[in-house]
Amino acid sequence: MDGVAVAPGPSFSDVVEQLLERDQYAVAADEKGRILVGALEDLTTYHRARCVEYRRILDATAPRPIPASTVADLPYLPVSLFKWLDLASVPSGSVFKVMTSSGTTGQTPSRVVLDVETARLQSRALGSIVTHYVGRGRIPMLIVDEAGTVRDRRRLSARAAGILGMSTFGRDHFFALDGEMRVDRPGLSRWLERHAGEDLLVFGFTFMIWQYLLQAVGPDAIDLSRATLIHSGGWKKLAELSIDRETFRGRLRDAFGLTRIHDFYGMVEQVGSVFFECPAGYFHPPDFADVLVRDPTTWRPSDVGRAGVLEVVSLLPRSYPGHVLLTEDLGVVHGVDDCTCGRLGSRFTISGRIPRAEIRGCSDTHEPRH
Amino acid sequence: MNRATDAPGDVRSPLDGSVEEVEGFLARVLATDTAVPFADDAVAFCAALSRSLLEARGARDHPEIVAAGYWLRAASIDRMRSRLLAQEDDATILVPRGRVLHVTPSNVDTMFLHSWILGLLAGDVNVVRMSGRVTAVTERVIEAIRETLTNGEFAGLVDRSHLVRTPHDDRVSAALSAVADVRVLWGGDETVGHFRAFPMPPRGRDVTFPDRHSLAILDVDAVVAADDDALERLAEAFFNDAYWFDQGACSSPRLIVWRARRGVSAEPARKRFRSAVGAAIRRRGYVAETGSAIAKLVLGYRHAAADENVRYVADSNEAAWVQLPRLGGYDRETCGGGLFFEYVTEDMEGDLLDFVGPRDQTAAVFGLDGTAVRALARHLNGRGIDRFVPVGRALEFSAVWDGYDLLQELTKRVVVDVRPSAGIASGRGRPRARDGDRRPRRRR
Repeated sequence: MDGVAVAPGPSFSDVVEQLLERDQYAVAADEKGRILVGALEDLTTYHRARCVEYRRILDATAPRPIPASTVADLPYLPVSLFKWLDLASVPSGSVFKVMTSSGTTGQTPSRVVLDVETARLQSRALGSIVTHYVGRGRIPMLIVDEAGTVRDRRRLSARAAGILGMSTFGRDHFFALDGEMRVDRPGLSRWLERHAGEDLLVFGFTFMIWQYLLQAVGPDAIDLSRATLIHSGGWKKLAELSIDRETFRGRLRDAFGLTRIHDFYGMVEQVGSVFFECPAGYFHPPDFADVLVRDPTTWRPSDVGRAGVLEVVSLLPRSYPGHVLLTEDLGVVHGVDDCTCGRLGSRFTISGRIPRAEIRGCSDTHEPRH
Repeated sequence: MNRATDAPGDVRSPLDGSVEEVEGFLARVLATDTAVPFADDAVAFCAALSRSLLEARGARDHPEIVAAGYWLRAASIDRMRSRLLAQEDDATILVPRGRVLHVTPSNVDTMFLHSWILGLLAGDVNVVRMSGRVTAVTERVIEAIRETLTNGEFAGLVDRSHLVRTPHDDRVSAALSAVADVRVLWGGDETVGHFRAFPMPPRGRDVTFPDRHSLAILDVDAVVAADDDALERLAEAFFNDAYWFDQGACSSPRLIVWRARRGVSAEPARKRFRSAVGAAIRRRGYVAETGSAIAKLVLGYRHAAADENVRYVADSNEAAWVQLPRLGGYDRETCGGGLFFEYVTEDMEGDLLDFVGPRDQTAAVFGLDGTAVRALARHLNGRGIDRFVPVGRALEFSAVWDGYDLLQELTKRVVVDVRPSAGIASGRGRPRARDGDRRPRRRR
């Protein structure tokens, strides 16, 4: 790490502080764009001075006007670079936590390093978003998973990290599933009785909610009409079962009276990029992050309404250069500052993942990897 | 017996869709006789299959099919025949090796055909284990084979041509290896390693095609001096080398070495070449998947991160260029689909002497004369690069491949030399050496 000073100008830390303090989704797109481009340019300079691999990558590509005039002019890193490179802007002694993506079998997981500051910012970011939707004050929390998932604190799977992250916003946490992934109905009934009349928080992975919670509907009514469900983890498995969003939500409403449901899109590679789904069915970036869509042929920013590859930006990553990333997800920005839910900024949906490029190996000794 | 899905020990024929258990299949293989090398029906079959491929529906869209058809044409087969049979003389007879197991790769759709045909022409009984990967090209080729082979006059070739797909089952691999006189192992280090674990009979031998890497060597001055037509032709030729099989063949160039004169910048040549290749890509309508474009970006950035002064340019999703300041850190790996590493040298022989290794197979050259290429090959003296060809012919399959003369590998030479020695012409008794009684031996 060089002993190079941060570039002069408005400190991105100050900007982040201001944005974290306010209630989220209240910054109009134009103003947000101006705030973000300056702070992200400063972050680019900051990481360039501290991460030699990042500097080399920036130097390897064609020169661009500095400072950038729009967020779209900033250089981006492809998200799967974090599977191959250890990119850090802090010395290894300052690494407080290593986050890894779940990495399905056969795939290398992504790794990012967090220092104390970045980890703290991550907590605060999640807090400002969750409290926006769920209110301040911890409420009783039902976790649709089994307690064993979070037992090993040293090796956090993505599922465990999600649960632990969300747990700070709840109290009297109850794991709904036993070791065999069956709903603990007596336990659940007792917990519900204990908190009758109170607002509840329910958290779990999308597929697990469908597979385990919903399959356990029985003669005793489980009343979750006062609950807010936050679920995460993608729709791929449900799509394979031909279950779409409407079906999923409909079943939850019919079975449990559950109507406040928020999908949650985020990624381990970018701290702060936590996108919650609003009641109108759109994801909204918080004020310290944003999303833009790129045309998959020209890589230029797409117009509103056109599908493309999602790029995500965030003011939070300090310990590693993850502030401007090109994801491998496809999506659409449907509108800006115009959501019926009243939240300002972009509203977007996700259409799916970019199909993996079929890399022709010459060997044919094993079953094809997916 | 046809099953809906294949059980582990099954062998399926893509020609007629039949499925049988490996034991039954092997019994049939073992009961088949070999034929003489370049038997008339095998030679005629090649000509017929050539016509069939050249006229195949879809041949127009797949130059790889046309190339395969061209390779099978009478003149080409005839050359191979003359070359091999030149080894026969009064004392030498060429015979097949026996049973050949071909394990063919998934990256080059037509390689199974080349391997099989050489075995067929050699007179062997061939089991061709094809890749599970089914593509438009393999389907068309199989169609053409099916049509031609079922023609009555070639019935005798069917039993020597077991084109099969088998599940990835060790039992089947072991069973096929145990009866093979030759295993032709395409498919890189992984396939070679995998099959080497299965014993062959003591007389059996492997012909292996491990991981290979190929490059192009372009002369800066020649690219600058080329007129627009010549440049366009060069770009088309390079397109064929690079983009067939999505840059996945062992002979596909992954690295471009630019030969420059001292003090002359390679930039104008590189720009001109990139632009011409871009035009060729558009003319040929090659479109890369989004995932491929991202894979190239990731690999390019990985290289950029690893060294100072790497430059990455992506003109389009179809072509990305990574300029390396030195070859020391280059690991020869690629994601394919149009990713080209470039290195500029003012000391071609010196730099290649340091870099070239056994993994390097083909160098496609432009702007170097024969003398310079031969000098380079002599200089390398076997460190690597088994073939030097002009740009455009990198993927042209030849029966001399990767340093193997394949027809030689698939045949044996039987020595028949029963001339009696001088002195035992009558066949009775042994000669007694008597001083003064020696007569000079007559030589025929």
